[in-house]
Amino acid sequence: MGERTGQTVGDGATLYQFDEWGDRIEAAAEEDQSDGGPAGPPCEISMLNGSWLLRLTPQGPRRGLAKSEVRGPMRIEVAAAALRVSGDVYVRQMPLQPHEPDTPPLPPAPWYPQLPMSQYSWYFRSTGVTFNAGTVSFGIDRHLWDRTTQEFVNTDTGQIELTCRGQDQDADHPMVMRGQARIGGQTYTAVATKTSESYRGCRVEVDVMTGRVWPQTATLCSGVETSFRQVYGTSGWDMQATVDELKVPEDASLTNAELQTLLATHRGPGTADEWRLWLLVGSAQGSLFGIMFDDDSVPREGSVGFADATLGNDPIIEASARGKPLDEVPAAYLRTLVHEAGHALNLFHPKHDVHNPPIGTEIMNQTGDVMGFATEANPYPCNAVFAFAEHDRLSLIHAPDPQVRPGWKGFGWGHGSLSSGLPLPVDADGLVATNDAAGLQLDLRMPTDTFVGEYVTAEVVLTNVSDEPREVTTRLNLAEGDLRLLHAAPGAVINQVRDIVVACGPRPTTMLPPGGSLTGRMQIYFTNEGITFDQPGPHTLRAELDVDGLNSVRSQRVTMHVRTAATQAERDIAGTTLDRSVGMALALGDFGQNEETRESLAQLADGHPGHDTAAAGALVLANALARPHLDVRAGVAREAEPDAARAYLEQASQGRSPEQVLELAVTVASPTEKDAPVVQAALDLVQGTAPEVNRATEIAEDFVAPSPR
Amino acid sequence: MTIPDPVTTPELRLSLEAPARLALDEPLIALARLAAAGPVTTSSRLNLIESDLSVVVTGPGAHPVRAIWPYPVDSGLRRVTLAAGEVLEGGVLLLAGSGRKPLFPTAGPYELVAEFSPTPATTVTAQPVTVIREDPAEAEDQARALADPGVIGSLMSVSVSQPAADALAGPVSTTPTGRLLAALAAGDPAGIREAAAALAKVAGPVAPATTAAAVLPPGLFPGDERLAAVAAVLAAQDDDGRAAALLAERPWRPPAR
Repeated sequence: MGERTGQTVGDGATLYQFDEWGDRIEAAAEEDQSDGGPAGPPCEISMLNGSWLLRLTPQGPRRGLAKSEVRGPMRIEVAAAALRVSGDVYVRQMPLQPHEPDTPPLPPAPWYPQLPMSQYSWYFRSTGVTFNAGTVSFGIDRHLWDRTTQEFVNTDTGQIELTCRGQDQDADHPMVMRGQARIGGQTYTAVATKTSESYRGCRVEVDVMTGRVWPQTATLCSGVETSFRQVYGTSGWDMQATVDELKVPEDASLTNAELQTLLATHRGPGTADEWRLWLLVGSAQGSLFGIMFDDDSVPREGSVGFADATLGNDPIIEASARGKPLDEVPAAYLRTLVHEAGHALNLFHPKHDVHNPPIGTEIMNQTGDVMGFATEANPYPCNAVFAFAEHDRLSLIHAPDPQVRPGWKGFGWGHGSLSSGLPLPVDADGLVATNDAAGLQLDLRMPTDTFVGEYVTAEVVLTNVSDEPREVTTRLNLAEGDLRLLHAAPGAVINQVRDIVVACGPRPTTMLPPGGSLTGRMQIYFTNEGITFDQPGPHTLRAELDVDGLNSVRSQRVTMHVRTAATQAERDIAGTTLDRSVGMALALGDFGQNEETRESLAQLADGHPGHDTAAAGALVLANALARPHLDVRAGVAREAEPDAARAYLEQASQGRSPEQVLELAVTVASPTEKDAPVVQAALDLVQGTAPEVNRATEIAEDFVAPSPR
Repeated sequence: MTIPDPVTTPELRLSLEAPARLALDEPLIALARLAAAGPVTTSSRLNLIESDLSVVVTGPGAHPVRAIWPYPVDSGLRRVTLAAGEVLEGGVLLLAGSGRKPLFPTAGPYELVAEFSPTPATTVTAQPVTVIREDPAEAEDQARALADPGVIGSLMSVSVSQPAADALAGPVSTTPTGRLLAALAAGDPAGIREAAAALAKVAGPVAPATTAAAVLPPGLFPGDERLAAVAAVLAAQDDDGRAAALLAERPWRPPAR
């Protein structure tokens, strides 16, 4: 979108309409014909411009035992002939209380709603806006956030209407709009409280290396004086830059590793939810002007401008700046520092932005490119525009919080499509209506190496790391819905991994004492994805457990390196296990009526008994043959073969400790079959055979009902 | 994103040279070449770091990914005038894109298309080249190390982040190219000289020059002692001056055929 000109927004008695891009539809403008709504004079449209706190409360009876707190920042951009709305909604669950606690007062304006990343639920932007007699009404495209994958996964639509009346406003109180929202088939009472005339804010801590100069202000060639905060102010950002330290120790050349260390050791404290950025006035790295170096696990929190880098002697450089170090040319240095901070807000160089914005002389163009447009008559930095291009300005104002906020998504995220299709309606709670559980830790333990076709198991351990007992689910398996596994195959999208059987029922819980743990063990070889690890390469997995319906806990990410079968034994095993019916038998702990699968399992068990995959095959046979099986539909029965079952169990136990035998047995048994014969049989077999039997007993007990240890 | 169509200008032609087959335990270093048909002034920032150059990588069954340096930088204008028949060459480390995500996560054929902006308003595009990345025979640790974000960050920022130090000294350094990249990151001149000599011995003097220029573009790091260490080793073998030109971001005239 280019520069807009047009009618300046008028008073609240005029109907204005704006299309999905937020641009004014001229032909639609007409005088207000409404009944005027609530009493009081309507606000002028210009009063809407700025940052708001949007709060949504469901209308009608409450569902469930918890109350959702649904709120977040909303940005209304009122420009000449344009009106756009976007917002980010954060949700947390609160237990219902007999008496509603008093709502804490809001801070005095200006302030910016900056909420915990762990509560992020959805992003919205307007698809068309009308403003009529003080009422702003707009449809929204809503992008739903998956807290586990940390990605937008779905979109849907909704409608929000808010009315602004003069009687709601007075000098001592923030401006308030009231109305309703229709989201996911539910109606909500909507209240918006204005927090600032700017759209977003961020605290910038500036540390200065000894002997270098922070450009507090810069006088441009036009004679206009500007500053870091003023440049960001042109895009509606309130960037409060404060110099914190003037004597960062001298280091003539800074590597990225050193910069990362400086960020860790010199940045001052901040609150958890505050948006903040660390900016270093540093020395040099080669002849770079600046770099956004922070690409670690909490990315985009630090940038540097190199004060010692020199401008060239080219005639296209303004005469007084030629050959000077950057910090002796305040306009040039300020431009670089604003540019690097822009990267920390996830802005790209135009030439690599997937949206293909034009290359020019605005802030996010590299200095070299701006110099490329300079002439002797209009040299650098005189030719530089000290403002963001329209594409970057819109991104700063309206892009979702995860894209913009320092410390959230990595550099480059969000420069593609946000949407992955239209889902069924989801209400205002978003996709994951749980909080991040404090005081609980989830560990995912699994091998880091495997080959395609090898039987793979995982262990999930929930630990109470708080000082208080915690009531938690005991359903630490993939079949009963509380636990899920997120799996990203090489180069592929993230999939949710579940068992191939899904069970429903009440959530059994246990009281987990401080320091206590619960353990669940499961096979992940064959899941709802089929063969889970059917592609060579690095696979990433992460577990998420719904602890109690209100809180969730996530594990660390684990990378599993999958290779193709290399040895003859591995190829033999893979040749059997990659058969889908064999995979299903390994997941179900039974081959049903499929005699071919039984034969394959027997070959697997007999062929390489020292290998755990073969032992798993033997244990499936031991489990299946220990009991009869009836195919109701076909009317075919399979008789139990207890002697054969015992023989396969003994075969699987050869060369394995009691603990190893039970670890395998509980994974081949389906989690929904707490009485699977193989678990008790394996325990009976190992009883009294070794000192490790106690551990084996615990594993068997955990299969039936995990208990704290 | 879409794969750019080949674009040439009357004066400039861009090409990318890369090995036809390379195991995944080897860092992929390509060579970008800008050839002039007539006198032309162009940006000399023929490297991924300063983003005048980029490479679009399309893997098996995957969407095209633009190989962008993980650390966005700002730098000044550098230009060079090429006479007809002269070329400017630059090194290209194709290891990871934004977010330090590996560009070659699995074995298979990958198509590479290079793009370069001689001026802010113009672009030249190279013909696609295909590289087949192969499963390493017995070097999974090395391949895995090259996918580690800490290792990627260290190699691409030419500085050692401590969690990656062991991998840089160990598995990464088992191939000649990896060894030179790790030595450049560590910054030890003696280690750099040894690694450059070892790579030159198996691949000739242009290979270490290309590798060093890929992570330390000479025009961006003038006077860098690491580049000087590489240049010192190669001087005796660099009969046609090509390696020296690469290490100085200087035009070079290929010998007539």
